[in-house]
Amino acid sequence: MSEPTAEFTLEGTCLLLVGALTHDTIPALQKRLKKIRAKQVQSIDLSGVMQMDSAGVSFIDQLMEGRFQGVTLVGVSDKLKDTLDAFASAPHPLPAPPRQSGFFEKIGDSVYGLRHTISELVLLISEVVFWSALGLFTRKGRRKGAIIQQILLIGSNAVGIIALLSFVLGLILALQSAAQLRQFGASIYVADLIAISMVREMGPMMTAIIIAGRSGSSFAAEISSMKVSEEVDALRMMAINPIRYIVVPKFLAITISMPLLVTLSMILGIFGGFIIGVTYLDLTPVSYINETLSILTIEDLLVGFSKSLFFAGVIVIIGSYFGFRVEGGAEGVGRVTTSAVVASIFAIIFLDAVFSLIYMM
Amino acid sequence: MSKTPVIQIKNLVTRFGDRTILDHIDLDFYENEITVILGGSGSGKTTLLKSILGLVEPSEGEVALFGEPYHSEDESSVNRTLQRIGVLFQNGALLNSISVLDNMAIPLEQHTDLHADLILKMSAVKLGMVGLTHAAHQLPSELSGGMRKRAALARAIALDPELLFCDEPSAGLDPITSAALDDLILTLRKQLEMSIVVVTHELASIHRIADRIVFLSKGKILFQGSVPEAKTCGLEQVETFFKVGSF
Repeated sequence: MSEPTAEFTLEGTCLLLVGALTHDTIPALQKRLKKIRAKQVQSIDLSGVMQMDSAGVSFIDQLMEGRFQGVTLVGVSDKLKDTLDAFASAPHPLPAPPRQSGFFEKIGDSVYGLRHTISELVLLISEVVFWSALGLFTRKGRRKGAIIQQILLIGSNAVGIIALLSFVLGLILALQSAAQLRQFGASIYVADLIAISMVREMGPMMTAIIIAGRSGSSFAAEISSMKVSEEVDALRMMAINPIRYIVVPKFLAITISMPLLVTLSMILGIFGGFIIGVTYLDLTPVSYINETLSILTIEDLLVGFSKSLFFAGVIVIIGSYFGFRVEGGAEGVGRVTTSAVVASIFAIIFLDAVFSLIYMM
Repeated sequence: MSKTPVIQIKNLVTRFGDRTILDHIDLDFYENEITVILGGSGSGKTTLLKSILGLVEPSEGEVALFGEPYHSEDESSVNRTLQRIGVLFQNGALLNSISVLDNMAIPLEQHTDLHADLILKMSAVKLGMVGLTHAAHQLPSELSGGMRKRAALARAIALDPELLFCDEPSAGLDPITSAALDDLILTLRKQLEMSIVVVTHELASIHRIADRIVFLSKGKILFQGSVPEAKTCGLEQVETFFKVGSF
C-alpha cells in the first residue's frame, strides 16, 4: 500500500490542496507551503482532499487564523464539512497557563510552608508519643502482633547488612589510623580510636543511616500507598486512629530494635579493628581487648544508645510525615519515599553533630 | 458486501496457572463497527481485551490486527500497529506528574513530526471534544474520576486511531456524562471511521452505541449478535442480563 501524500498547486489566487491531510503528510506540506506568500492566496480549495484527520483540520484552522487569515474555503464536500466541524479548534480555546510565582512569592510560600511543616511535625510527634505511652496500658486500637512483625522487619532482617557494614567500617577505620599511629609507636591506640568512634559516633550513625534507607523508605512508601488507596480514610471511618494503628507499632518496634542493632554494630566494628590490630599491627588479642575495655566508659555507651533512640524516633516520624502528606498517585508515592530517605539521613547527621557539640560542652 | 475484519482471534486460550480464563475463543471484530463485550464478573471480558492488546500473553491461539499477526517478535511492527490503536483504560492511566495537556501531547510528540503549535491546537481540540479544555493545565490528580476518564479518552484518540478499545468507559460516571461519552464514541466512529471495542456493563450505554455484542460466560462466547437479537436469543443468561437491567 502506497504512503498517503499531500500536494498543493497555486491556480491564480486559489490554493488547491490535493491528497490526504493527515498527521503523516502535514509536516512536509507545511514546510513547502512556506514558499507561498500570503498575499497570493484568496481561497483554499479542498475538492482534491481525499482524506482528512484531526491534524488536517487543525492545520487548515491554523492557516485560516494565521498566514491566510480572511481567505475562503471552497470545494468542501459534505463529508469534509462534517470532519471540519467535528474537529474545529475555534470552539475550544485553551485557557492561559497558570501564572508562575515570582522569586519573592516563592520565598514567602517557603516560609509559610515551613511553618506549616513544623506545626504538622509537632502534632505528629505529640500523637505518636501520646498513643505509644497509652499503648503500654491498653491493646485497643493496635493490630495484634504488629509490634513483633515490625521488629522482625526493622530489626532481624537488617542484622546481616548492619553486621557486615560495621565490620568493614571497623576494618577501614583501623587501617587508616594504623598507618599514622604506627609511625609514633602508638599502635595500641588504634583500639582506643576504634572503640570510642564506634561506640559514640559511627555505630549509632551508621546503623541509623542503614535503617533510614531500609525501613524509613518502607514506612513512607507503605503509608503513602495506604493513603493513595484510601485505606487511611477507611481506618478513620472505622473510628480507628491511623497514627495509633499504623505508626505506633513501627515506633515501638524501632525503639526496641535500634539499640540492639547499634550494640551489634559497635561489637562488629570493634571486632573489625581487632582483626587489623592483631594481624597488621602485631598487637596481642589480650592487650587489644584490655585497651578497649579500659578506654570505654558507661558514659560512652549511654551517649551511643541515647543517640540511637533519637535517631529511631527521627526515622519513624519523618517516614510517617512524608507518607501522610502524599499527593497524587504512584508518582507521589515515589516522590515522598525519596524525600523521606533524604530528610531522614540529613536529620540523622545534623542531630549527630548537635549531640557531639552538646557532649563536648 | 462482506465486512472487513480489523481484529481476528483464532483459538485464543489464556490461562493463569491452572485456571483457564479464556477458553478457545474464535472471534472477529469488523471495520467501522462498535462491538460491546459484556458478561458477568469474572467472565473474562477484561482478560480478552488485554489478550488482544498483548498486555496478557495468551497461552494458545493467534490474534491478528489489521490483517497482521500482532503478538510478533518484531518490535517495530508492533509499534506501528500500536500507533493505529487507542486504548482507554478503566482508571484512565494518565501520567500523574504532568498536566492533562502534556498527557495529550505525548503520543503526538512521540509519533509525528508535527510542529509544536499544531500539537497544542490538536490537543486543545481533543480536550474540547471531551469538554475538558478548562482543565488543560491541571494535573490528573486534581481532576475528578469522570474528568480523568474523559481526559484519558482524549489522549486515546490523540492520533485519530483506526481502532479504539475502551475498558468500562461509563463506570463511575453520572448518566449525563456517560451519555455524552457515548455520543462522542458515535461521533468518532462516524468522523474517523473508527472500529471500536467497548467493555461495559451499562445497559443504557450498550443500547446507545452497540452495533454488535459479544456475551462472555466462563471464558467462552455465549452469544454474539445485535442487541435485539440478544433479547430474544433463547439463552437464559443473556436474556436475564437485559431483563434485570431494564426498568
